[in-house]
Amino acid sequence: MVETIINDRVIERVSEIARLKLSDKEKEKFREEFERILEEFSIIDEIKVGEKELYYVVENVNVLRKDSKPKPFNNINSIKTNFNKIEDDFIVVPRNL
Amino acid sequence: MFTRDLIEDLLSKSVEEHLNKKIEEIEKRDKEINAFITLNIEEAEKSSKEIQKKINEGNQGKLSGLVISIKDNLAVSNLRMTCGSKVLENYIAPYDATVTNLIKQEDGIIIGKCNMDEFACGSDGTSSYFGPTKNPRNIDYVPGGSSSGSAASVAADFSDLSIGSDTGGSIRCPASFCGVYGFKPSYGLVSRYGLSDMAMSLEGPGPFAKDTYGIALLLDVISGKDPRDTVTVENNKSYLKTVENFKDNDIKNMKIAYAKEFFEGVDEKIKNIVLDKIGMLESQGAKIEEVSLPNIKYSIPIYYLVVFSEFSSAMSKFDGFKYGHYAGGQDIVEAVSNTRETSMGTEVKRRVLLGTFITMEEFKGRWYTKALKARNAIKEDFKRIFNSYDLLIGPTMPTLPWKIGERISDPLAMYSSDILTVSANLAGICASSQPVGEVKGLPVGLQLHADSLSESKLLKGMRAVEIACEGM
Repeated sequence: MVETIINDRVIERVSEIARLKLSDKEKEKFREEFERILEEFSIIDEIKVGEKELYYVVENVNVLRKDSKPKPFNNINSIKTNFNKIEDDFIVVPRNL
Repeated sequence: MFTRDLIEDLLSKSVEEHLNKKIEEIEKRDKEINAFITLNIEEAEKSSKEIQKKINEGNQGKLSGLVISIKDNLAVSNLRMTCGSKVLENYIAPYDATVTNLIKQEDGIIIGKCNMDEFACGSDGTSSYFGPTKNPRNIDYVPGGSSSGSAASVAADFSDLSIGSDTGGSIRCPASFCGVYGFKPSYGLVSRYGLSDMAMSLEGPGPFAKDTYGIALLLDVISGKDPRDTVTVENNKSYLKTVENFKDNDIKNMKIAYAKEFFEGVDEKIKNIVLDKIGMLESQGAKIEEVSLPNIKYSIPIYYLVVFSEFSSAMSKFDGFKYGHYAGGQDIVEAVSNTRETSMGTEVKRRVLLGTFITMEEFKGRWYTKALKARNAIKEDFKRIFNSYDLLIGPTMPTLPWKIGERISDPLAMYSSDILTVSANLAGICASSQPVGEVKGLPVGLQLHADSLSESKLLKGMRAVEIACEGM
C-alpha cells in the first residue's frame, strides 16, 4: 500500500510549487493517476538496497578546466531575439510585489 | 556494407544529386509520415555544393556528404528547436550543439529537425505537439519513441543517418519498431552540450543508421571529450576500424550472456526470433551462457522515479520570459503558472507534478532517495555480469509496435514498454538495437548490452549479429 495519501491539499501544494496551474478536472485526474502509479511503484520496497545513493554513474565528477580565460559566447543578439518582451536591454516581466 | 558503398558512390557521383533524391522522397512521403518538424533544405543545398567542391579536391570530411537528420531537442544554430512542444514552438537556437558542430565539421549535410515525443516524454512518438510520427513500415502503427522522427527518417530513406537521444530507450525503441540500427552510447561518451535535458543523469545523444558501419562512422564523429560537458571522456575514435577489421572468426572469442529476466513477458514471436539468432551465434562458436539479473523487474519504478525528479527540475527553466510560449498574468507567479498550463502536454505535466511531489522534503526519503539506492543495485548487477562476459543479449522491446492511439491514455501501459531498455541508462552502460526479423511485416529488434565505455565490444557484437542475419 502507498502510505502517502495524495489528497486535494497535497495536489494543490504540488501545483503551486511546480508553478503549474491545474483545472479542478485535472487535479482529480492526476490525483487518481498518481495514487495508481505510486501504488505500483511501491514494489521498490522489496529490493535489498545499501546506503549508497547513486546520483551519477560516472566517476570523473568535479573535473576542473585549465585556469585560462574561456572564449565568450559572442552571438548575444540571437539570444535576445528569443525574448518575449524587451525594453532597451531588459526582459519585461509582470510586477512582483 | 551498405553505408560504406554509399560513401564510395558519393565520392564518384554527385552529392547534390544524392541530396535531391532525399528531398524528393521527403516531399513525396513526409506529409504522411511526419518525421520532420523543421526542414533545412536551403542550407542543405548550400552545404552540398561546398562539400562537392571538397570532394573534387580530395579533402572532404569523414561523412562526405551523407544526409543527416537531427532530433529536435539538439540545437542547430539559427534553426527552430521545439523539443516537440508548444513551449518552444518559436524558439530559434542561437548556437550549435557539440554533436551538430562535429557533424558539420566532418561534412555531414543536415537536412532537418526530427519529430519527437514532447520533451522526450513518451515511448511511441505520439505525444508531439506537432502530431504523431507514423511508422514507415506500416503507417497505422507507432514508430516508437521518443526519437520517433529520427528512426522514421532513416527507415523512410529521408536521411542516411540520424541523431537521436536515449534516456530510457528513446533510440533503441524506435530503432526496433522502424527496423533500423540504433545505438545508445555509454554515459559520458558523447557530449550533451546543446541537448535540451530531460533527465541529465541518464541521457545522451546517439546515432541511427542502416547498418553497423553507419553507426560506427557516426560514433567516431560525435564521441569524445568536450570541455563544455564535464562528464565526457576521451576516446580514440577507432570504432569504424573495429567494424572494418571484424573477421567472421572473431565470433569464436565472444562470451555472451542472456538473462531469463529479459525474456519474461516478451511476445512469443519476438522471443523465438531472438532465441534463433542466439542459436546462430552459438553455432558459429560464440560462448553463450544463461545468467540472472534479479533486479530487472524493479527497473521501471526506479527509472521513472529518477526521471520524474530530474525532469521536473529541468523543466523549471521554462517560464516564458527568456524564450518560448508566453501567456502572461498579473504577477510573476501567475504569469509562469499560466504559461506552463497553456503550453505543456499531459505527459509533461504528469511528470513535472510527480517529480515535484517525490522530491518534496516530507516524501523524498520514501521515493527519490529510495530510487537512488536501488539504482546502485542495478549498476552492481551489470558489473557482476560484465566481469565474466563481453555482451548481454536479448530483445529490445517486449512487444511489436502497437496501433497509433492505443496506449495514449494509460501512462502505466506506456511506461511498461520500456522494461527492457531502461536498465542500461540506470547503469550508464552502452546498448544497441538492430533488426533481426519481422512478424506480419512489423520489425523485431535484437538488443545487445556491453559494459560502460566498451563500445568496441558492442560494435563487434552488432557486426556478428549482422553477419549472422545476412541473407535473411
